[in-house]
This record gives sequence, structure tokens and C-alpha cells, in this order.
Amino acid sequence: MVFHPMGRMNQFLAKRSRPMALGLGLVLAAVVGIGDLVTGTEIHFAIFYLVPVTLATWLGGMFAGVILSLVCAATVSLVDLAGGVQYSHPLIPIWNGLMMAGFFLIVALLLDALRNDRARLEQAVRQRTAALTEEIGERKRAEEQLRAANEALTAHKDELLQAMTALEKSHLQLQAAQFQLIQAEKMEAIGRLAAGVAHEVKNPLAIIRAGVDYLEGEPIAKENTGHGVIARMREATGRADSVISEMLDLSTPRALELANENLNDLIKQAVRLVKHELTKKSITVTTHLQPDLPRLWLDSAKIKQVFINLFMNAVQAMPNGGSVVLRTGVSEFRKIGPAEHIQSQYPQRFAAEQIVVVVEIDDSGVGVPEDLLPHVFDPFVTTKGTGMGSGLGLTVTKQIVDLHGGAIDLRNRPEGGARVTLLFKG
Amino acid sequence: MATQRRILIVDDEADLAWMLKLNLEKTKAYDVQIETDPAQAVETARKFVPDLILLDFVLPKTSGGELAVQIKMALAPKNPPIIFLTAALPQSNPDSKMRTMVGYRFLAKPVGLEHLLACIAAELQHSHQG
Repeated sequence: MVFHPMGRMNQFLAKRSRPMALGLGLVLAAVVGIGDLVTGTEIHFAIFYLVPVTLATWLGGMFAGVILSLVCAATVSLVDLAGGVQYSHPLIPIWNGLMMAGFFLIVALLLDALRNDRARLEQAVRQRTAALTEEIGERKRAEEQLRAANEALTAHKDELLQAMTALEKSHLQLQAAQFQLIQAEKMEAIGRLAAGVAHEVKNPLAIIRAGVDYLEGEPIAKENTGHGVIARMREATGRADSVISEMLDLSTPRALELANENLNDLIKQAVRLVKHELTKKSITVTTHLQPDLPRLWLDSAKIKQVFINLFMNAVQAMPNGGSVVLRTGVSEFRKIGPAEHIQSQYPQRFAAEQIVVVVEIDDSGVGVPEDLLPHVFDPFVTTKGTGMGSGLGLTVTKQIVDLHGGAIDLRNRPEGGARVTLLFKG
Repeated sequence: MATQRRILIVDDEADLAWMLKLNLEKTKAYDVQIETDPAQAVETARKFVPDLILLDFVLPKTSGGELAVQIKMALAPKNPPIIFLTAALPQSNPDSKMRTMVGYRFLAKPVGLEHLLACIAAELQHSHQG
């Protein structure tokens, strides 16, 4: 707001100026009247009466101006009469008074008009200034808002761009994953197909190959044409074989896929998978899993395979039902039961103070014949009848455990049944 | 001429068994007998007493693995080497891969005569030393 001293004063005067202006005007009029009387009738004094009139009008407004005009006109007439002026007609002093009153009134009216005009002008200027100030403020605020909005928009645009880039990236990743999944499924299907087809195709190929090998030593191979025929047959069987071999390669197991796993969880999953089979054979499973086992680097699928193999082994050892008790725990290597035996089987794999994660699986089955015990992990050794199993289950199990840098031990328990002990470096 | 070594071929693919027999006998180094019925294999082995057995791994009603254990038990204390022939393995170096896995020599069908002869010779020499 612009500082406006006159405006302030006018406002102040406008509130209480009318009585004050009247009072001041009347005092001044009296002073001028006394001055007029003293100076006598010969000296014109009328002009001084304009001082109270203009002062009252300016300060007190129209009403004060009119009052002072009339008072001053009356004073002029009274002073003339008191001064003894002789008039040729008795109405002349009244006429002169009216003339003076008219003169003062015109001055007062003009002054008041001027004053009002000025006030209006000031008011207009004030309003305009206020409006302009307001407008400037508003414009500033609007500009500020616009700038903020612009900034937000820019930030938003950046965010959108980032989100779009991330979206594009995840879309690509998804596409890649989907592609890999399809590929994996294809591979598996090819593998299954290959395993089936291979046997049927490789045998005839073997016969042709053996035939070619036979003909190689016959007189016909010495002839030019015969030699060419045999060479082409050999090459063709080789080509057919390599195609089938490539398909079979897809279905052969890959290297370990290690991840930081919770062994207890894998055991629980394996138990779930064989639960049905165990229940069917009236076998109960009890697990005592020590919580907070150290996490281990394991190939989850292969380790589950280990436990499934061991459970199925236990199932076959208990044809009339029984119980399986599984425990997990952590121990120093030298404190576990079969430490000495394992030490001899896996020289230098475990130090005496090595912390190991131990899994014990006890069954209540028939146990293993003592003479077979040293060979239980050898291939094709089985206590089962023909067609019951490949005899490779425990061999594969040991191979998987060995690959993990662990150890496996199987022995009969004094109270009956067998105990499998698995060790993993903690 | 040195005495012929005796080889028993057990394979339900009669044509393949016959063809392998032809090829092996052509070398004049081996006396070859074939058995195409896995159920008769143990009995045949007991009678023939082979120095080496070529055994098909995938057989009807049984597996080459189980048959190997039975034959070995039947022939004990003689412990002739067994070479498995299999159509279920890829050609790419199955020999070394499977051998380290289960302690037997596996040959993927179709096997070339040269390679077969080399493997037979190696196994026989190995068993002779052992």
C-alpha cells in the first residue's frame, strides 16, 4: 500500500471536521469582522472573509461552507451598518448582504465541488492502486503457481519416462523369461521324446553300423563301387546317430544349481511329496527339525531327490509298516556317531572341529545284511526283488551328496532298523 | 595262435547280437556266444563261463544292471568284466562319463567296431592284471 499523507489527514478531518471547521470558521469570521469594524467603512475588507469561508468549506464540507458564507455576509452587512454608512434606500444594505452571501456561496460551492472531485480522484487512485497491487500480487501468485506446476510437470515427466523405461525393461525381461520357459519346456519335451526314440532308432542304427563294419572286411569293399557304397552308409549312420545324440544331450542332467537354502524346508517339501506313499504303507514320519540351522549352498531339486530316495528306501525296508524318525542338528564333526567311519570313507573331507549340519533318518525296518553294508552305495546292489528298483537309488543319492561336499553313512541300529546319517559342512 | 577269449553277448536285439558276433569272430581272437533271452542269460553264462560280457542295458522285464549283479554272483569267484551297451545314452563321450558314475564301462549304440574291439581289449587286459 502506498503511503498517502494527505489522504490520511483528509480522512481524519472528514470524521470530526464539521464542528471543528464551523468553530474555527466562526472564530476567524469574528476576527475578520472586528478587523473590518476597526478599519472603518472606507477601507474594503470583504476579501478577508474568504479565509473563514474557504477554510470551513475545505475542512468541514458544503454545510460548513454555506453556514460560514451566510455568517460572513451577515457580518459584512452588520459592520457596514455599525460603521454608520448612509444608504439612499433602506433595502440597499439587504441587497449588498445578499450579494456578498451569493459571492461567498459561489466560492464555497466551487471549493466544495473541487474538494469532492479531489476526494473522488484520490479514492479512484487508491482503489486503482489497490486493484493494481492486488492484480500484481495475483499475477505473482499465478506465476508462482505456474512455475511450481511446470516444475511438477517436468518432474512428473521424468518420473513417467523412468517408469516407461522400467516398464519397457520389465516387458523385455518378461519376454525373455517367457522365451526361456518355452525353450525349457521344449527342451524337456525333446528330451523325453529323445529318450524314447533313441532306443528304438539306435538299435537299428547299431545293426547297420555293425553290418557296415562287417562288409568293410569283405572282397566287395575292395571294389571301387563297393567301397563308395560302404563309405556312404557309414557316413549316413554317423549322421543319424549324431542327431539323436544331440537330442539326448538335452535330456541329460546338468551341473549343480546351488542356492542358499534352508535344509529343513527342503526336508519338509520332500516329506510332503512321499507322504501319500508312506501313509499307504502304514509308515509314520516324525521330524525333529532344529530351528535356525545354518543356511547351506544346495541344489534344492537334487537334495529333495536325496531325501525322496532315502524315504523310498526306508519304505521298501518296511513292507509291513513302521516308523521313520528324522532329526536335523548342528554339531562338531568329531562328536557325531559314525565320525570315525566317515573319516575313513572321506579322508580329509572334515576336520575334527568342523561344524557340520547333521541329518539322521532312522527306520524300523529289517536293516541291511551285514555282508552287504560295505556295498550299499555300489551300483546295482539291491535287496529288492527283480523289477523293484534299478539298484541305482543309493548310488545316485551318494553321488549327489558327494557333489555337495557332504557325506553319507548307512548302518544298522542296535535296536533294529537302519540309520542313514547325512553331513553337510555348516 | 593264442587261445580265444570267450565273449558272451546278451541283447534282445537278435540281429544286432548276430552281427556283433560276426564282427568279433572275424578277428579270430574271440569265441562268441549270444543270448537274446535275458531270462536265460544267467544260465547261459554259467555254462559258457565267458571272459567278458557285452550286456545290453535296457532289457525287457529286467535291467542290465540287475542282470550284471546276478551273472557276477553266478560266476563267482571268477569276475569277468562287463561292458554295457546302451541305446539310451548320447554318443558324446558316454564312456568316461558313465564309468565315473557307476564304475562300469558304457558304450553308446551304435558303437563302431574299432572302438568296441579297443574297449574289449582294454577290459580284458585290465581284468587279467587284476
